[in-house]
Amino acid sequence: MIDEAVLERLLRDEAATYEPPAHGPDAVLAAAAGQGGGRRDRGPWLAVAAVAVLVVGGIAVAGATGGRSLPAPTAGGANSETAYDDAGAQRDRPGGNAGGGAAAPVPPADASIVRTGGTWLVVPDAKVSDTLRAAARVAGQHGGFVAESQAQTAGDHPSGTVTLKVPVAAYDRAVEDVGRLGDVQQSETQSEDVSTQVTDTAARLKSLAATRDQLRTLLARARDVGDVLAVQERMTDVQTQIEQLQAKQEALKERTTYGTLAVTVSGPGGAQPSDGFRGAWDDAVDGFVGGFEALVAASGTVLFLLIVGLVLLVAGRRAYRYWVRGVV
Amino acid sequence: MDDLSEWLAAAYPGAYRTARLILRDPLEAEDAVQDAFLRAWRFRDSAPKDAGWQPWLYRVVVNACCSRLRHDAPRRDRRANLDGDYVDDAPGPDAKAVRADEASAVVAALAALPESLRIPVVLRYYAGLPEKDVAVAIGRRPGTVKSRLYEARQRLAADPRLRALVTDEEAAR
Repeated sequence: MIDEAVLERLLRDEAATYEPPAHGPDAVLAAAAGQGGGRRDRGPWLAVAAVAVLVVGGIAVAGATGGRSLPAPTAGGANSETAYDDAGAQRDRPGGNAGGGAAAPVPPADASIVRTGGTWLVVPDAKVSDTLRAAARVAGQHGGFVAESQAQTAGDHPSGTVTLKVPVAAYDRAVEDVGRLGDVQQSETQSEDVSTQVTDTAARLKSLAATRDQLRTLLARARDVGDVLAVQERMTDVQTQIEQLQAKQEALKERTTYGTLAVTVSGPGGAQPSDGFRGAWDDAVDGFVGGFEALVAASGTVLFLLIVGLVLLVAGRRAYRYWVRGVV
Repeated sequence: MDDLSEWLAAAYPGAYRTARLILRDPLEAEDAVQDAFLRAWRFRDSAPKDAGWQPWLYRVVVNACCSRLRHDAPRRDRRANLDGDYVDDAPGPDAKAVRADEASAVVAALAALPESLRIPVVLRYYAGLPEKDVAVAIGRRPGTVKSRLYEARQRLAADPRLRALVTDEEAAR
């Protein structure tokens, strides 16, 4: 058995070597402001304000806020107010559209938005394949492409799904065009603002690259074998982190360039094909509820039989006693 | 705890190191802690008052770590194996280096445990939460925490990297 005190000591020794990132708390503050003072209404505006704070906070992100206009951040909490003084200063620049009133905020042109959505169209059975092809053409018309398609056109209830990748700028138009192809039963779209993630990743990459350069200089100066090994080990670590971040940056770029639109087409009699997770979840819930109902139903019968049995038993005992007494 | 910056100053380093012990990867740990604080901040109205907030915050941190563990398990497994290979190096000459080697051996062995065992160990022995608070943080009963900690310590004792640390009566068997 490992001694608890030894385990405690070693874990604390090891953890003490983990230096928390100096910019960590600032990044949280910035992102919290990006959520609108910690509430759910995360707006693209506030993400822009968050970028400003990151810059002010000492993380240089070249050109990230250049030419952007900033609205009044609605971040709650005294600390957030002070943290945003500088954002406020930028807000007052001429040309800014601060205080836009109740109008819905328009995302800045360079905000990074991930668009996803789905549309379910119902058309006459005979037109299912044509509609699927037409939906696929919509992607091409807007400079996008078809990522995936599957169809079951034989049988009584033809249906199919095409997954379109459409440039984010043309996404809303593509959704409208698809909506004109049939009777829209259901349509949903989501936007996720990943500007903070994008600038965060860029800032981290920049600072890691600087660290790597410094390590290189150190390596050139190292004389001792131990030093060389230590620096090399650290460099490998930094390089791994850089590669991970670059992969993340690539993925973000891909997701923010093309929006995803799943178009499901079915005949009037077809049920909406549920998507993987939701379908599985619904099945699980149904199974559970069904099982529970069966249990309740069964328990009713059991209870009824028990009561009948009890009544019969009591009645039987009385009758027996009466009979015995009567005989004696 | 209305002031986020105060909250961060008090809890960020501990939360980060906890996440790092659970996830091992510095970037992942940073992201997980950021998610956790944002979530905690968003739901601060429902946070328990006084002493109860700490296990509650740990619960949020643990959940953020778990969701990251689930998202990219394959990559993490590869990294854990690489790190494991590294730990097999011969110990350094002085006592400090030996101790540092022991510490990294513990962490490597810990990484080999399933998360259901690893997380209670980190919370109990690194974060120093009492068993009942660990129970709150992982959403299980205190009895479960006790048995998981016991099993984790047994498994760690069986790990070849930690042979030197096993207490004498066990080693004698």
